[in-house]
Amino acid sequence: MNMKTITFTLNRKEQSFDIEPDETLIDLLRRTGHTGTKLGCDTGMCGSCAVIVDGRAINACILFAFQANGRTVETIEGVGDFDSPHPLQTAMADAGAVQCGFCTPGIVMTAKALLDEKPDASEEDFKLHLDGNLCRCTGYVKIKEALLSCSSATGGES
Amino acid sequence: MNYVDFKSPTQLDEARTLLKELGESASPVAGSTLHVFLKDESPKVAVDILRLGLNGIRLVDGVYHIGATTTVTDMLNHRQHGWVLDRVAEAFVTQPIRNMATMGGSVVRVFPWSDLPVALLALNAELVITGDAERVMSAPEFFATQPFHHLQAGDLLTSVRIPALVEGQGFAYHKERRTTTDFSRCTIAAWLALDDGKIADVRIAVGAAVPMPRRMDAVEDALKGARPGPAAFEKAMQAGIDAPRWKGLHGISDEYARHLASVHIVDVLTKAHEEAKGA
Ligand SMILES: Cc1cc2nc3c(=O)[nH]c(=O)nc-3n(C[C@H](O)[C@H](O)[C@H](O)COP(=O)(O)OP(=O)(O)OC[C@H]3O[C@@H](n4cnc5c(N)ncnc54)[C@H](O)[C@@H]3O)c2cc1C
Ligand code: FES
Ligand code: FES
Repeated sequence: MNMKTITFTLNRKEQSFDIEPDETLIDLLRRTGHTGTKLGCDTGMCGSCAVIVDGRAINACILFAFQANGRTVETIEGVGDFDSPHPLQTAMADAGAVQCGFCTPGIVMTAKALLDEKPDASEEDFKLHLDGNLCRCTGYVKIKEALLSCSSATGGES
Repeated sequence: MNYVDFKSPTQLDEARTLLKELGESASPVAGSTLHVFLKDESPKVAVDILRLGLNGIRLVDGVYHIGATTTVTDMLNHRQHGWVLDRVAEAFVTQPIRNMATMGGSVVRVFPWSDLPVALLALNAELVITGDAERVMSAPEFFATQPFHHLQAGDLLTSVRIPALVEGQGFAYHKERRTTTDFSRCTIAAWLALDDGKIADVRIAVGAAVPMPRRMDAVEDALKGARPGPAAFEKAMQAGIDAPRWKGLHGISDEYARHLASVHIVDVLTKAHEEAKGA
């Protein structure tokens, strides 16, 4: 295969990767250890692979890795971890909005992209922005509560 | 897709030269969302067209110029007098895909679920193709066949122009689906202009339930000069409903597709009329 090098900012650090031209962003992320991004449907239907590219949530199972060249990519690893979770992660855990957890990174990333752009996001904003995130366990009510609690409109802090 | 190489040009001329030189073995890539549906295994060089500065929405002399790489999210977020594509963008599948998919990629290849072509037909859009010379095609010409047939190697769709809505005009769009990621059963767009309480001009387009998006000429003809209202809309719908060959998709019958269209033609006309009245 025709390997080529690309460089982009991943979780605030500029990094170079050798990629294959037809490699998707999720394949690149996962083979380089960023396994917090989950591959669900692989067809853009479930949102479990959502990462933030240049400030917007996208499906990493669809975007080709070469398209990330020169851009800024944020994955769940850059958002928070067990010792220092992001308020969205804390809110999801506190609200009981996580069961198997497979959809959670995608939900956190999509919600973060919204709150970064609109800290006072309303319930309607969350509904629109998370219309591509499926959860097969929780039934969405707890997820909605968790996300809304992070909006400054409801006194939260993201 | 079987991409064997990729190029990331930053100038339109550079991208066009590459595409021309590489011919059939190259493919422009915008949001790249189409590869989910289009399983082309022939080896191709991907030419990324997102760095050419073709994005953005500008209002020039009452006409919106929408750059080909403007994303659906940009269309959804845009707020300006006479801008209506946000209503169509909202119906366009999910947020991550709206963030990736572009105007160009969404009209160059048309699928039953394609939202923008239906709206562009009702809005009398013009589509600008940059080849060795610039060509402008009307929406009915562009969508008369699969639009990529209009493009030679090295040609790119560079922008789409839509007249801004003015006072006395209204526009509405309806997409029939069960969930946000569900494929459309039927899509209808209507634009109408009032003059002295009568319908001076009207355009209705339908998609999903027909092989290619198309205008409903007989419905339009029945409405021109008429006094708008439920009776006129129903009568016009009846006059044209049997012109297309209805095709039921995703488990619905052809007859039910026709039924959905008959209901939503009247609905979108009613909504467009409300807006035209200033309601
Ligand atoms: C799960 C899913 C659901 C979807 N649902 C819907 C829906 O409900 N409604 C809807 O309208 N769309 C929907 N889409 C999007 C649609 O099917 C297309 O994938 C999308 O519109 C393509 O846009 P893009 O910018 O990603 O184009 P790309 O995938 O990059 O390109 C698409 C095609 O157009 C060509 N092309 C792109 N830009 C240009 C240009 N400027 N000039 C010349 N050729 C060009 C490319 O070579 C390619 O052949 C959905 C997509 C997915 C993945
Ligand atoms: S894995 Fe990407 S959307 Fe489902
Ligand atoms: S917690 Fe299991 S899919 Fe959402």
